[in-house]
Amino acid sequence: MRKILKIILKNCVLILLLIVPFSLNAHAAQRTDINSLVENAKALDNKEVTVQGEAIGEMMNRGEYSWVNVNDGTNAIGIWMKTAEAKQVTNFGDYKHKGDTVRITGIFRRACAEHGGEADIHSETFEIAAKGNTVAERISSEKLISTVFLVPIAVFLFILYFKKVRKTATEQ
Amino acid sequence: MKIRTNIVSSIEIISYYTGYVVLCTALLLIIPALTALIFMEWNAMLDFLISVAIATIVGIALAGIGWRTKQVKANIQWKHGFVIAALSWFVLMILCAIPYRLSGHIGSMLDACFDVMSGFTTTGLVLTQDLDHLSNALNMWRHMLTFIGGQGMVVLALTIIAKETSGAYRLYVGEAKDIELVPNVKGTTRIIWKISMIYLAVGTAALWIDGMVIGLKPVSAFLHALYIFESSWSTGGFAPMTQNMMYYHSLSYETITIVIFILGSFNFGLHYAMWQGKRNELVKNIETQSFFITSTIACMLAVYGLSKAHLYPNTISAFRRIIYNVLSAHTTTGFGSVYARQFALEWGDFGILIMVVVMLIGGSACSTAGGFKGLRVGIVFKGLIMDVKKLLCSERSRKAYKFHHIKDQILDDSVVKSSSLIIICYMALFGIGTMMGTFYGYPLASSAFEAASVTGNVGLSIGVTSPAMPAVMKIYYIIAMYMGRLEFLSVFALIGYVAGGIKKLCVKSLKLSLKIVS
Amino acid sequence: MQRKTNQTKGLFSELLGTFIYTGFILIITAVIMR
Repeated sequence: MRKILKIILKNCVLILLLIVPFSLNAHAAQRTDINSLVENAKALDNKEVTVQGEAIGEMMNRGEYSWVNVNDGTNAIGIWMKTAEAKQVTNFGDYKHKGDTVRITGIFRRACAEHGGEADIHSETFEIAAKGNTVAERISSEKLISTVFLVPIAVFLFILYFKKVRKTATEQ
Repeated sequence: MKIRTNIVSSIEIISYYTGYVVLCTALLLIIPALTALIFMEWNAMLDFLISVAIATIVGIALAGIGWRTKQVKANIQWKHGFVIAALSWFVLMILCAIPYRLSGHIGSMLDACFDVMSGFTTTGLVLTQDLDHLSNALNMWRHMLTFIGGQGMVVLALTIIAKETSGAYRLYVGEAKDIELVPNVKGTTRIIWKISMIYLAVGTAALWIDGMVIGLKPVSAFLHALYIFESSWSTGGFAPMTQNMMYYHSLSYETITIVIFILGSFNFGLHYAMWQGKRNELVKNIETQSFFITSTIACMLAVYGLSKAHLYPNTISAFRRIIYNVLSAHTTTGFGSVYARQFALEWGDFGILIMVVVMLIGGSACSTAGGFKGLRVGIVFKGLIMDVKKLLCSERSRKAYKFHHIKDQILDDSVVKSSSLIIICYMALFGIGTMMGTFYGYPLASSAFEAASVTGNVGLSIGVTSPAMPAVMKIYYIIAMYMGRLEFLSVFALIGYVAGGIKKLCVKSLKLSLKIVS
Repeated sequence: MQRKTNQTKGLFSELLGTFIYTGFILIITAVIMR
C-alpha cells in the first residue's frame, strides 16, 4: 500500500514539474520581430503578439491614449496605449539617447479600422524591460585631426579666391 | 598691360562654372554644421566641417583652373551648359556624400553616393540605416539636399551670380527647366526661389502648428515641419524617421503634405501665372488637366481594385492608405503610408501595376517632379487625336491645332515628336531597370515597381532597395535617377563631349606617333 | 501694392484649388467604398 502511494506521489511531483514550466511559458509569450509582423501581416492580423524594442522619437499624447513608436532593430511600429502607461517611458531614442526598452503584448492589426487602416498594435500589457540612458559622445580623434588640418587650408584658399575676384572685378 | 589670349578652351569654361556651382553648394554645408553646433552634436559637427573644407578646396581648384574664363568673359555655348549641369551634379554627388559616410549610418561610399543622388534628384530611396538615431545635422542636410535638388543646383548658382552672363540661359536649360518666366534668366531664377521661399514659410508654419496639435514637442515639431515641408515641396520623399509618414499617425498631417506635394509637382510657370493674376491658369493648363484626369482615374481604379480584396475596412482607411500612396506616387513624391513590403504582400498585381503607371507618368514639366511629365502625356494624347482628325477631314482644309500651356501654343508634329522621343527614353530606362531586377532574382512586379520608382524619381520602395542589393543595381539606379532628373539631354551631351574629347586626343596622339615614326 | 494682392490671391487660389481636389477624391473614394 505504502509503495503504491509513494509511486503516485512521485508521479504527481513529476507531472507538476512538467506542467508548471509550461504554464509559466504561456505568460512569457513568444516575442515577435516587428518586421515579421509586416511580413506575416495577414496571418497575424487581430492576433495577440508580443514585441520588444526601443521607444523612439517621442510620445504623442492623443487624450486618454497615446502613440509610442517602437523600433526593435528589424523595423518600427506604432503602439497605441493608455497615456498613463506611456508617461512611464522617460527615455526616447534619438542621436544622443538610447530609449527605454519596452515590452508590449497586444493585438496587432494589419489595417486598424480605428486608425485609418494603419498597421499598429493596441497595447494590453506594457512593461519597461530596461531603462534607457544618455549616450556619451566619444569624439573621434581622426576626425578632430582632419578638421584641424583641412579647415585652415580651405579658409586660406577662400580668402585668396575672394581677393582674386575683387581684383578681377576692379580691373574690368 | 599684359596681352591675354582671348581663346579660352572649353575645358576651362566648364571647369570654371562647375567650380562655381560646387562652391555655392559646398558653402551650404555650413548650415548642417551650425545645426550640429546648436544641438551640441560634436561628431556630426566635425563630419560637416571636414566636408565643407574638402568641398571648398575642390570648388576653388576647379574655378582656378578655368580662371581665364572670368578674366576674358568667355562666351559660353549650349554644349557647355549641358556639360556643366551634368558634371556639377556628378562632382557634388561625391562631395556631398562625405558627411553621410563619416556619420557611421552608411556602409560604403557607394551607398552614400546613392543617398545623395536620391536627394538631389528628389527621388527619396534610402540606404541610410537607423534613421531614428540620426543627428539633427545629418537630417537637416538630407532634407536640404532634396529641397535644393528640386530647385536645381544651377538655378541656385545663377541666383547668386553677380553679373548677368549671356550664357546663363544655356546653363539653365541644361538643367531641364525651359520655362521662361521673364525675359532674363536671373530674374526667372529669382522668382522660382521667391515662390519656393514663400511656400516654405507658409508650409512649415502649417506643419509646425499641426505637429504640436498631434503631440510633438515645439522644437521637434519645428524640425519635422521643416524637413517634411522640404521633402513634400520638392516631391522628394525623405522623412526623418524609419516609419516615414506612419510615424505621425495623423490624417491632418498627411492631408497637409498632400496639398504641399501636389502644389510642388506643378510647373513653376503655373505658379508664376497664378500669382500674377491669371487665376484660371489652374484649370486651363494642359498639365493640370492631364494630372487631374490621370490621377482621378488611377485613384478610382486603385480603390475599386483593392476594395475587391477587402484590404482596407472603411473610406478613411482607403483614403489614407490607397489614395495617399497613389497621389504620392503620381506626383513622384514618395512618402509612404504603408510599409514598403505591404505593396508586395497585400496590394496584388493590379495595385502594383497602377502604381507603376502613375509613377512613370509623373508630375509637371519644369517642376520638382519626375516621370514623363504630364505635359508630354497631354501633348502625345492630343497629338494622337490630331492625327486621327487629320485622317478624317478633307485634305484641302488647313487647321491649326493648339494646346494651352501658360499661353496658347501650336500643336505641330515637331512638338509631338520631341515629346514622344523623351517618353521612349524613359521607357527604355524603365525597361532596363526592370530587366536588371529580374536578372538578379527579384520578382517581376517588384522589379517593375522599383524601376518605375527610380526612373520617375519617386522614392516609394517595394523592398528591393536595401544595402544588400547588388552593387551593379545600385550603380544603375544612381545613373537612372540622374538621367531621369536631367531628362537625358544633359547627360547625353556630357557623354558625347567626353567621347568626342577622347577621340580627338586619340587622333592627335596617333598623328604625333606617325610623325615620329616617319 | 496690386502685385502683392495678386500674389496673395494667387497663393490662396492654389491652396484652395488643391484642397477642393483632395476633397473631391475623398468623395469619390467614399462612393466606391460603399
